Formats: sequence, C-alpha cells, structure tokens
Amino acid sequence: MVTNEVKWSNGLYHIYEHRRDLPITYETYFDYIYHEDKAHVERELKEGLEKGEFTNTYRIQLKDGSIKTIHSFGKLLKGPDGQYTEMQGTCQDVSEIKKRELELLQKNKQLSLAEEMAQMGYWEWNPTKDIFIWSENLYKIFGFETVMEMSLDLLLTRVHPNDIDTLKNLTEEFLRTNVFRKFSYRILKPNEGEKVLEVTGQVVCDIKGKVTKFIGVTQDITERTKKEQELSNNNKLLNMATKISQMGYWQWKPTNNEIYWSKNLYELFEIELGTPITPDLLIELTYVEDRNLLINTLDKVIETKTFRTFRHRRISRTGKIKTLEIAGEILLNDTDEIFEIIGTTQDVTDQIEKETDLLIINESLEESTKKLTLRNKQLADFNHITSHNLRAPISNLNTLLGLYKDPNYSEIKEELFDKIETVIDHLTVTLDTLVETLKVKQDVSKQTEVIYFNDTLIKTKEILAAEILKTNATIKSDFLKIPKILYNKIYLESIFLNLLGNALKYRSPQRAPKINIRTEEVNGRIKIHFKDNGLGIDLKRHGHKLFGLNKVFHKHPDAKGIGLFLTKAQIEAMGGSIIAKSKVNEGTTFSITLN
Amino acid sequence: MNNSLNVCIVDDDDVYQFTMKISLKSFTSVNKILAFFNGEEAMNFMLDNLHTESELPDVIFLDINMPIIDGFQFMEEYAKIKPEVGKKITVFMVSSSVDPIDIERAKKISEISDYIIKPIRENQLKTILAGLEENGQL
Repeated sequence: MVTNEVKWSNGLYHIYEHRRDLPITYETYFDYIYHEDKAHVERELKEGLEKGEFTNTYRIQLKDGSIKTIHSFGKLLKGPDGQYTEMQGTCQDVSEIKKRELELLQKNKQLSLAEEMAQMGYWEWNPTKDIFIWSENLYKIFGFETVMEMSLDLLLTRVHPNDIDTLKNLTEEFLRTNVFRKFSYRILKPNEGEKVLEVTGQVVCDIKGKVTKFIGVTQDITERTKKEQELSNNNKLLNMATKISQMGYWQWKPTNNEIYWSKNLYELFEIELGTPITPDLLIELTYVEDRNLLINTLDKVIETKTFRTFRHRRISRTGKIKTLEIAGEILLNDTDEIFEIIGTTQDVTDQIEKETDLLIINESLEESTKKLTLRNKQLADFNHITSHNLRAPISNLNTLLGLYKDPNYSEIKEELFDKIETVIDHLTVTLDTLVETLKVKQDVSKQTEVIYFNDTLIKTKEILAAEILKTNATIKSDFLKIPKILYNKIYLESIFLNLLGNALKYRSPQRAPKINIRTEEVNGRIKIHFKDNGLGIDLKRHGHKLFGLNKVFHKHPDAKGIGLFLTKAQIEAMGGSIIAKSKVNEGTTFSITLN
Repeated sequence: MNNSLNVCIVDDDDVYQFTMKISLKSFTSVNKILAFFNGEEAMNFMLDNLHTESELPDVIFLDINMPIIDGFQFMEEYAKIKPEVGKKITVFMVSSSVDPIDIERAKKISEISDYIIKPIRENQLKTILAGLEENGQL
C-alpha cells in the first residue's frame, strides 16, 4: 500500500484476462470495476481500512466488454510501526453462481405466475409434525395471510362443513395406505363464498418406507366445475330437444369417412347404439328409390363445398315410409379444404303429414269460399231480380186496377184491360225465365256427354237458317285444337243459340255479319270464343249490367234482356265463366271458359 | 195558375207511361207531358231545347233501370249541362226497386229531390204537383 505495488496470483490474471507482461497497479485493478459498482467498492474499501478486513461482491468489466461477478475477501497487514502497510486478499469469480441464482429467482417468479394463472398452489405437509409448506398462491386461494403458520386445524376452518369428514377420512386413508388419490372438496372463502378445490399429490417416503411428507398441488376448479355443469346441463337440454324434435346430429370427415352419430340418431334409424356407421350402411338405411339422390347430393356437397338442406326417405321397422330432413354445415381448414361436415337429421314425416292435411283443408276451404261467394252473388242477383223485375209489373197492375175501378176512367176501361193483359204476359215471361234459371242453378251438371262442337254449330245454324240467309252472314269456325267436350248438351246448344242469335240480332246495319267461333285449351280448361263485327256495346257504361235480367242496350225491338242472363246462369252452373270484350261499331267477343 | 207545369216522364215501361199520362192529364196544373223511353232520348231533348225555357220540363219523373242510358247515367249527364239550363228543374227518381243500394245512391245525388217507390199514388202526385206550383208562384 505504501509502494502501491500490486501482486496477482495466476488465477487472478486468468479471471481478469490481463496480460502478465503488463504492470498492475491499484488503478489498473480499479479500472476493471464495472462503472456502476465503482462507488460501492470505494465505500467498502474505506470501511475495510477501518475494520482491517473486508468482503465484497461487485462486477468487473473486461477489455472485451464482458461482465463478471467477483466475490472478494481481503485482510490488512500492519507494518512494524503499527500502520497498515499491506492488503492481502482473494478474488473469486462468482458469475456462474450469480447467474444460477438469478435464473432460480426468475423460475420462481414464473412458477408463481403460473400458479396464479392456473389458480393453483403448491404444498408440502409433514403429517407427523403437522408442518405445512404452502406456496404464496395457495394462501391466496384459501384467503389466508401469507404470514400465517399453516396447520391442519387452521385448514379445516375453511373447509365446507359437509366436506370436513370426507377430508379427514381421506387423510387417514392416505396415511394408512401410503397412496394418494386425486380428490376434490369445497371450502368457504370469506366474502367469496363456496369454492371447489381439486387436490393432486403424492406420498414421499424415506428409504425405510416411512412416510415423511405429502406433496402436491391444489387447484381452484370452481369456474371449471361451473362450466362443466353448464355444459352438462346444456347437453341434457340438447338431448331433450333433439329427442322431442325427433332429431339427431352427426359429424362426418369425408377424407377418411369417419362418421359420428349422436345417440338420438341411432334411435331415429332404429339401429343399435354404437354400430359403426359406414357410407355403405348409410346407403343401406336409405329408401331404395332415394339412394341415388343421397349419393348425388353428398357428392355435390363435397364438390361445391356447400350444404343445401335435403330430404330422403327410409323404411321403418314397421314398414312405414319416413321422411328425413338433413341439414349441415361445412367446416373448412386453413387451406380451404373440407375438414369436417356437421349437421342434423330430423324425422319430418309427421310434419309433412300435418302440412299436407292443412293444405287439403285449405283447399277445401277455398273451394267452399268460392262456392259460398258464388251462392251469395246468386242470392244478391235474385234479390235484385225480385226487387226490379217482379215489383215493376206488380206495381203496374196495381195502378191499372186502381184506374180500372175509378169511375172517372170508365170510358177507357177496355184499354186499361188490354194493358193489364200485356203486363200479365210480361210477368209470365219473367217468371218463366226465373224458374228456368232456378232450374239451371239447381240442376246438377251430371247429365253430361261428349259433344262435338261442330255438331252443335250445325244444329244452331239450322235453327237460325232464316236469319243467316236474310242477313247474308258468314260463320267461320275452328274447332281443330279442341273438337269436343264433356258437357251438358242442352246448355251448350242454348249457349250457341243465344250467342249466335245475338251476333245476328245486333249486327251492324253497315255490313254483313261475320262471326268467328273457335275453341282452345288454356291451363287445362276448355275455352270457346264468339267474335262478331256487330254493333258492339259500350262496356264502360253497360258492362255492369251486361248479363243482368231484362237489361237491354240497344233500341232493338226484340231486345228482352233474357238471353245473356240465362246463358251466364247455364255457364256458371257448369263451373265456368263468361266475359265480354267489345268496341262500339266494331264488334263484340264473348269468351267462355266452359269447364 | 193553370196549365203551368211541363211534366217529363223518363221510363222504358210503356204501361207505366200509359198510367202516368192518364193520371197527369186529370190535373189542370199540367201543361205539357213529355215521355221518353230511356235516358238518351230525354237527354237529346234537353240538349235540343237547352235555351227554350217553355219547352223544358219543370219536373222529371226519372226511372232507374232503362236501356242505353239509365237513370243514374242520365243524372251524370244532367249535372254537366245543369249550369246552362235556364230553368229550375225538379227531379224525382222513380223506381219499383226497393233495393237500399239504389235508394242510398239516389239520395247522394244533390240534384234529386226525392226517391219515389212505384206505384205513385194519385194523392202523392197531387201533393208533388201542388208543391211545384207553389214554388213557381213564389
């Protein structure tokens, strides 16, 4: 120290990686100390000078920049004058030890973190001395302060009253058998309530086989248990739902044709639970006529990677045809290839039956509504007829009779009587027409026969021969497409006579009548069209009363307003309809849907 | 005031026309009786005599159901020409129809004074004509 002479051992040169041929001074040594630790070393040295010795740990930085941790121990030697003249000491490279320590600390920290995240704690228990070693997190799990000394009695204060006996019994069993079984129990944690803990552990014995301690981990599985419970409940509900809806679910890996079926699906197909499901079995379980459909549909699923809900049938053990509806979803992997297909199969037989029933009921309801509407309209028509066509002549008769009886008019009595006769004649015609229509409406259309339209036309032409000759009319017909019909003969003749008769009667005075008659089939119903080039009718004005009783639109002396009324009644009685298109001075077309 | 009223009958029923004419002839207040078989004939007459007040009717007995132009259609046409008619014309709708639809429809037309269900009794005719005469005097 006096001469500032420093001597190093070989080892020290090695630690410092200092070249031997270079001189060493205190400054050289001090230069090596890591800059952060320099002040600390200086302080220690100063203190050492007073105490006569020192120990210190610090870091040095070598020429290549690497850092080493040095543990150094030194002693001061006194010279003859009683003053410290020399310092002797050792330096040890503790870098490795330091590193290990740090690593351990790190590992411990990680373990703690892992324990915390897994809600798990480590413990050791020495049963003979009742000494516990608990990890910090285990204290947390139980809600104990870390400083508390753990004992079995203290532990039991947290255990759920119903689980205390179980825990005691298990402990006794482990001690007796030297075997540790995984178990779970409940604790009551202050402020947080019930928690479920799962304990895994093992028995540690000494060489003689005597139990020295138990070690293990305890995990808070409250959340997991809850989730498991929920899952199990959901599963039960799903099972119930699938059972009620006669549905099962399946999983299918097309790559290796691995197929999984739910229990319900086995029941649905009436095959033994656990039977391996193969594509061949699937086809075998399918109704013969639907097998190709099944194969094609599934091929298409694979090809298009889309699953469209489809149906196929199967035959039940009792020989009934059952319809199944299959819905599915495709799961793709990262490379967009089919990884798995999952879906449901539902027996929709009952559903379809009900749907069909409903459809039939609906249809018949619609039919009834149609019939009722028609009946209602007929009733309204009839009401209208009585109101207009019967009341008018009656009121005339009343007036005429009043005048007849009045002595003031005695000189025109004969004339009055003539009028009474006219009214009665008119009334008779009206009543006859009404009776006729009623007959038509009540007449069931059963008396039908196959009639050729041309035969009817010839017959009608014969009846109207005089008119046709007089008016120089041309009648053309096209019955090629539909030459015949199953119909009531009298009605068809009446329809022909009325419509042809009208076409001749209401001809244009400027031109000879040209009449076209043709038949066709539209939507499976036979239609006949009567087209003329006559006077035409202003349908905007008269359309609403075209087919009414006693409605006339022309100043024609023979117009009585009976023909179309009767024609319409006859057509409707056969389940058909009649409409008219017309342009004044151009002509009229009557289109009749016959059946 | 005698022979002051022009009465118009529009009805396709010739027996009704016959009885109405007989009845009307017995009233001294009736000047002229015009009779038409349908709305078109009546309307043509009205158009021909639009500005000849002496020819135009004071009252029209209008039937509903008639060929070509019926009572309601006649009223539609009449509404169009009414502003040009230089005379107050009272219109009665006369019908054998007791159909409430017809009656309602007639009542909705402001130009129609009343709806009379056939047959028209002699007393009824008397009251109507007397009322018209009074109005004319005022």
